[in-house]
Amino acid sequence: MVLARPVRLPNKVTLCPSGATLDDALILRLMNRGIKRVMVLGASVPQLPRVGVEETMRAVRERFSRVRDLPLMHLLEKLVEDKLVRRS
Amino acid sequence: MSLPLPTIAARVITVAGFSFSRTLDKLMKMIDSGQCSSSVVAAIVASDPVLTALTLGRANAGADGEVAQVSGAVLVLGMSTVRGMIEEVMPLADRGVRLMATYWSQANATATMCRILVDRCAVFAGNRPDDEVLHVAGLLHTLGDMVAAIHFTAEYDVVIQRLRRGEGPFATLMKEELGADPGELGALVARAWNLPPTPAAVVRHHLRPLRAPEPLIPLVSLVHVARQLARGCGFVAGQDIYVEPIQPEVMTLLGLNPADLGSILDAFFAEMDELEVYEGLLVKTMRT
Repeated sequence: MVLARPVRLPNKVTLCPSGATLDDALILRLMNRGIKRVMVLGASVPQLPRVGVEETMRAVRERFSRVRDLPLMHLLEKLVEDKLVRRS
Repeated sequence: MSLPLPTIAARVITVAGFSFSRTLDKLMKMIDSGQCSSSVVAAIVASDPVLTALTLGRANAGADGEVAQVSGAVLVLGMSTVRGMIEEVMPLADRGVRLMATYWSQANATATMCRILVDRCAVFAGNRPDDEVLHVAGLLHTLGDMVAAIHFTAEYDVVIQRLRRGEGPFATLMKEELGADPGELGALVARAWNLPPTPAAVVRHHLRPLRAPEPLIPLVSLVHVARQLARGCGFVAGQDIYVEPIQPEVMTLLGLNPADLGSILDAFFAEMDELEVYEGLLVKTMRT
């Protein structure tokens, strides 16, 4: 794997330039410095299929189907449905 | 057919830890390289509920006080002991991998929700637990369910069939079929694995937090609410898809205002996006 973007610390100091080859030793060194993700060259990963609005609402309603009569849980269901529908 | 608690306890004593072979391989490779810091190993262990439980249990067996943080536990044990522990863990296969992936995501989502929720609860003003303690509490709460799914498969499968027919809540059905609800089974596992008192109380009482030992009631209540919020957002485990009620008195005890739930969910989704796992986990855990 080859770095597509340089790896920088929060203080903007560059740890690795773009184009550097990532081998096991370098990956371990980056992990030891607390780096959790890097950008590498290559084809983009296939996106997971997005769940549609109808399916999202159906799943939320089924999850809450046994507690909907409780006011607090009804409120929570409406909030979750709203947030998830906005995201789908 | 339910079993007497002593029989379940006897079986639990011999219950082996279990995890994904990819996680186990990765940890072994990193430890064997000799170049990996304990904090990196702790970070990987802390993403896995069972490995976290085993690590804390081993560390507490030889410690004077309670070791409640994974980073501290890895330091107490040392790399060679952690390596030996990992060697004894059973790699999951087939059905277990798919099922445990959903429990894993529910546990991590609950842990994330705990860290978000704690700052909105008046009861923790001035005595906020640290993030690692919160993470461990959220991560381990569902230990009983996970052990049931892997080691008591016949009873677990009947519970799921009855759950889908609407014959009662998951915990009640597990009590009827196995003889122990998830909290009771989790408590037996916590004892067998020597978990420290704080996570053990969370495992035992998260379904009925007001029954926890008095000093731990706020933390157990936090996990109780975090679990249902995470489940409501789609982080459900296997076929156990139904959200359970949040006890209103628990909201009062925590000083948590229902009007804050909207902003809490916003913060949760933002955090899960930041972790770059939300979409994948949600798609995997949502029942289609």
